[in-house]
Formats: sequence, structure tokens, C-alpha cells
Amino acid sequence: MNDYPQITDEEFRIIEQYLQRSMPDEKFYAFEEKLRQDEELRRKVAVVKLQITGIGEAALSARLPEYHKEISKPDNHNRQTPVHEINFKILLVAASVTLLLVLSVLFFLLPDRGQKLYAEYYQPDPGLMSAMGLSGNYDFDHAMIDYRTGKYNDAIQSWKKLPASGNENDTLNYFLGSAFLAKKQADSAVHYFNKVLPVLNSDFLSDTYWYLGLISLNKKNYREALEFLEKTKHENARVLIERLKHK
Amino acid sequence: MHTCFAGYRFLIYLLPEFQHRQKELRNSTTRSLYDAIKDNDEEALKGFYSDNFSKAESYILKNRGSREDAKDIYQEAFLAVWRNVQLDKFILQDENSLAAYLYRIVKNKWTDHLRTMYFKKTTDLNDEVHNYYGEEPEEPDIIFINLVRKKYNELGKPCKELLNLFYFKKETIRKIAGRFNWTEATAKNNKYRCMEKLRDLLKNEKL
Repeated sequence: MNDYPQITDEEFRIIEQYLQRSMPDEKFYAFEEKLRQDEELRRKVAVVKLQITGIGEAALSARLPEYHKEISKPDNHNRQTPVHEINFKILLVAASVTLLLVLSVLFFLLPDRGQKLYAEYYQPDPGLMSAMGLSGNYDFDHAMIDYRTGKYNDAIQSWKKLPASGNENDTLNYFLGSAFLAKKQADSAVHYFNKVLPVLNSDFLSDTYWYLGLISLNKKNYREALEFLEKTKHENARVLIERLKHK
Repeated sequence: MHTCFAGYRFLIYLLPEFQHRQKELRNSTTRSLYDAIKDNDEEALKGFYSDNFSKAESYILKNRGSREDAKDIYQEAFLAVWRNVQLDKFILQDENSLAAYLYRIVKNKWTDHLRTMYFKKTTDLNDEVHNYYGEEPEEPDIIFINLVRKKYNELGKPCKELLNLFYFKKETIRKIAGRFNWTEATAKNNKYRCMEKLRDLLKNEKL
């Protein structure tokens, strides 16, 4: 990177709004289109992003001594974790064998309602009935075949290589989320489903709310589950909401 | 064996420190660790820091390092992970990949450190050899970020606090204005002035 480029106040303000996604959608996509064509603008955006990251890193660096103090506290288990971890693990395994019977009894006596409802209502999204070439993206369609045949790892690996731009953006993120959820990796699923939410005209918005609602249910966040389920148009949403409200 | 480990994992979640650290994340389903770190969620950052330190420390202590070395290397690696999350250079594979990534960076940094120390001790009479086996050249992005950090630290306390609130804590202008009893227009103006100072400090630097 050569000299710091000349960036006017107005340019800086707009670039900052773009990076923080705080401009209206229409302006955002227009700016992205401009970025694709203007190398100098891309460089300016990169510099502003690095600058903002540098400020954040300086702020975080100043906090690390405080984070470290938490570890250094005498009663903190982490600090007292011995260098040879194996002793700690053996101790816990021995304790878990002893306690396992008691825990098993408790586990089966206390049914997890959220998990049961999740198991009852969750079905992986079947995927798109895409003939090769229909979406205009061969790689996307090929990976969709993997997805539809349950080869979620293969689908994820292929989709992750695609640039997340253009019309496949919300589609790509939705199906990445669906694939992770099918693999029972809810956190990763949530990460990708969250990327669909800002796309207000997305065809996948309703289904995204449905799955986020189910994930919340599985984690026993009933209030959050209801908030998501109220927003979906999924055919089973009404029934599920009624069951949750009348628990 | 599988049942034993299931019990073991369950037992971990009963430990008070794990419950406390994971409380914020559990309370919100839609907040993956990756997203929380990207948003500079303080609890998530603290938890991620604490949860992964002992493994890194173990590695360094077993490989001729001291506790001080462990802390320094770990903090460098932690910042590197944070930076790469912010710059979208780290691609989330699965839920455990952030911790694994952090550990990998710790190991690499420690190996590089040992290599540098070894050649410094054995080749002090031979500058050419020492330079040849010197540290890897830094990427331009990292050089620039380090420069920003240096210039940021040269700003006065009020500017550092303001920029920290806006860019790290990601507070809105409205909230910042409320903190200092300013109008929103004043807050915006002060923020831009502080950024202008920082940009002026950076402007004449050649990289």
C-alpha cells in the first residue's frame, strides 16, 4: 500500500456508511455497483476499513490486560488448570462416571419441551429443484444437487467458494444456513441465516424466520422463538405458536 | 466411552465459570460467537480470551517458554484472530474453528519467535545470515493497521475515548451524545474532528 490516498470528508462519510451498512438498500447496492467499476474507490474503501480496524484493534489491545486479570484471579479454574491437562480430564471423567446415573435419571424425568417441539417440527429445507443452468450459476446448481442428496459437507464446501454477491446472495446464505442446520450446527446456521434478514425482498425471508424460530425453541429461548415465528408465513407456524402460548 | 464423554461435557457446563461466560451467548440464540466477536461484544471477547488461554499457555510452557511469553504471544494471536474476523479474512467452518484458529496462530507465532531467537543467539557475528533468517515481512495491511494503532495512541484522551465508543463499542451517535450531554450534531462534529486528526497524522506516512 502506497501513500495514504486523499479521501475527502464527504467520501469518508459515505464509505463509513457503506462499511457500517447504515445507508438505505438502494444506495448500498448502487455504491457496490460503483465499487465494481472504480479501482480508486475500492482502494479508498480498503483504506478506510483498515483505519477503522486499526482503531478497534488499538481499543481492544488496551483491554487485554483487564481480560488477563480475570484469568489470573486465584479462584479462577482456568488459571489453576495444570500444564498437564490430562489430570484434569481424568478427574472429570471419573466424576462423570459416578454422577452419570443420577444425571440420566434427572435427564429423562425432566423433558425438554423445546427440544421435543424442535424434533417434531424441524424438517430440512428440501432445496431448489434446479436443473443445471437454470439459476445461471453452474457451481451453485451443482452444489444444490449435493445438498438435495444429503451431502451437506460437499454442498457447503462448494458454496463457500462462490462470491456472495448478486442475486445468489440471499439464496446462497439461506442454503448455507440450511445445510449447517441439517448438520446440527446451529451456531453456524444462525450466522448465515442472519445474513438473509437484511434482504427485505428475499424469497427466503419467511423460511429464515421459521428456522430461526425453531433454533430458538431448541435452545429454550421461547420468547425469541415466538418473535421469529410471528414473522414467518410457514404453514405450521400458527399451530406451533398456539402450542407455545398454551404450554 | 461415548457416554463417559457425554457426561464429561455435561459436567463442564455445570461449572460456574463456564455458565457465567456462556450466559450472554445462551441468552441470545441468534448470536454466534463469530458474530459476537465481529460486533465487539465485550462478554464474548472476554469469554473467548479466557476459555482458550490455558491451552496456549500449556503449549508455550512445554516448548521452552515462560508465563510472560505465553501471555505476550497469546495476546498477539488473539488480536490477529480479531483482526481477521473484522476483515473477513477468516472463513467460519464450524463452531469450533475459531478456537482452533487461535491455537494455530499461537503455535505459529511461538515457532517464529523461537526461530528468530535461535538465529539471533547463534549468528550475532554474521549479519547476513541473521538478516536472511529474520522475521517474515509483514503484510502491507498489517503494517498499516499497526501504524493506525500507533497514531491513535498519539491522540488525546478525549478523541481516543470518542473513537473507541463509536468504532469499537459501536455505540450510536445518539447514545454517545447522551453520555457527554452533547447534541447529536455536536457529537457527530467531534467525531469527525477526531477522525480528521487521525487522518492528518497518517497522511504523510509512507508505507
